[in-house]
Amino acid sequence: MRHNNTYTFIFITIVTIICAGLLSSAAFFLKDKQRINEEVDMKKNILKAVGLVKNKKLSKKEVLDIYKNSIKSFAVDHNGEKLEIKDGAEIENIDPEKEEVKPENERFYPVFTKMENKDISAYCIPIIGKGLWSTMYGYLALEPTLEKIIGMTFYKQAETPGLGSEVETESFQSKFIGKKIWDKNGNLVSITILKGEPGKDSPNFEHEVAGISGATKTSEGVMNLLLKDLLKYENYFRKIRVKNTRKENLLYVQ
Amino acid sequence: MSNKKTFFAPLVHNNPVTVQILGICSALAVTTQLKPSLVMGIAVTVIIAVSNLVISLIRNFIPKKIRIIIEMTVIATMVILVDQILRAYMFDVSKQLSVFVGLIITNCIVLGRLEGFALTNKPVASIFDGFGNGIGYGLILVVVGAFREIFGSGTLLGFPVVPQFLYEAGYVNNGLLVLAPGAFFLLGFIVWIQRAVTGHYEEE
Repeated sequence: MRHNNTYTFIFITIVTIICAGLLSSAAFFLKDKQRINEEVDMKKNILKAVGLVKNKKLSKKEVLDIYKNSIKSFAVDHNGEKLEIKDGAEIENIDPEKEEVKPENERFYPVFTKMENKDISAYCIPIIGKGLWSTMYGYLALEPTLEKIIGMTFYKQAETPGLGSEVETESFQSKFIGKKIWDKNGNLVSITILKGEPGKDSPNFEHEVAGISGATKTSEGVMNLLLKDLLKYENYFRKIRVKNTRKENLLYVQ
Repeated sequence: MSNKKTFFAPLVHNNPVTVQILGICSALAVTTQLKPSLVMGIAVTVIIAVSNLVISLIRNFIPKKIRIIIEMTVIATMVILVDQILRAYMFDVSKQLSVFVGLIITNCIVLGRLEGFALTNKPVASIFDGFGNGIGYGLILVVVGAFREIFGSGTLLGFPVVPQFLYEAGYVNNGLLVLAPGAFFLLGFIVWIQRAVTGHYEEE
């Protein structure tokens, strides 16, 4: 059957309208569910970093409940001052990737704190950066003195399966636990990722972690993004450390 | 051709993966574990069956000049729908499948069935053809996925299946199976075994 051009145009217009209608209604009706999934995924990873969930399966509601009860979030600026956030805007919605392209004095840095009896028992910050193929997204949790790492997660990445994608495994992430990010002179040195296991007698043992064998670029990426993201919070962390030392001195005097 | 034959032929004798050698890319990419293989198989089956039905229903109205465009539009719509639904109801799996759901659009099996079957056959037969080809594709994915997960990671559907004492005795998971080449070898073996059993060979 031969069709003239008018028919062809009318036909393709109808098909397009039907398809567009289907897709936009699907997007409209599923949006809320998808948003909740993303939110739960993000919160679950913060909880994992601060050590509140250990790989066991939690329902969405459980994740949201635990998060609500034990995590307090706020934002700081580049100088380490706490920022007032306008009503309605949620810290959880701050996209660290978008903040990075803003000028330094306009950025918001989200901080998630784990609360225990009104005391902060862990600090958690988002870590994001390029690996070999992809951008890796994760969270890094520090103890209240900010001295040592208490947890790290990567939850979104597209590195080489079986090699770079090991960043998502427990065995790689747990290597960072207990490592120090400040040197003896109080410089923020972050973590160095080595080829092979760090020697126990190495002077920098407490700042060193073994990389993933066969995934040098991904390992380098993790090292770079840790330093980059820790430096963003350096001013804020220094303030807390000063406060903590003062408290300790006071206790000592008493 | 009867509906029964239309449905069963692509399962073995005319399998889209092992006989027609189509859809290899996704068969390598998503089969590191059984669960994404299963979901991918189901997603592709649904997409082929529904696209087949839609195209078959409007086959007499499609202007010949733009038939491929219409087919692609239908496939793309279906794929995005499936992707959206997965993101809403099976978030973890959709994260694992990532770009490969979107890439179903470029899976030659889908367009191949629309061109080769739905354009010239009645709706009911087209549904059977769609399900047959989708399941034929899914079947291979599931076999490869199960094998790769058991021997590559020591688990099945996420549960450990290789007993701990084997690891203690020095057994290690086969890292090759986690990588794409591992799937290539496996597919090769499946094709080989199938042809040895059925006696099928490529005509010169």
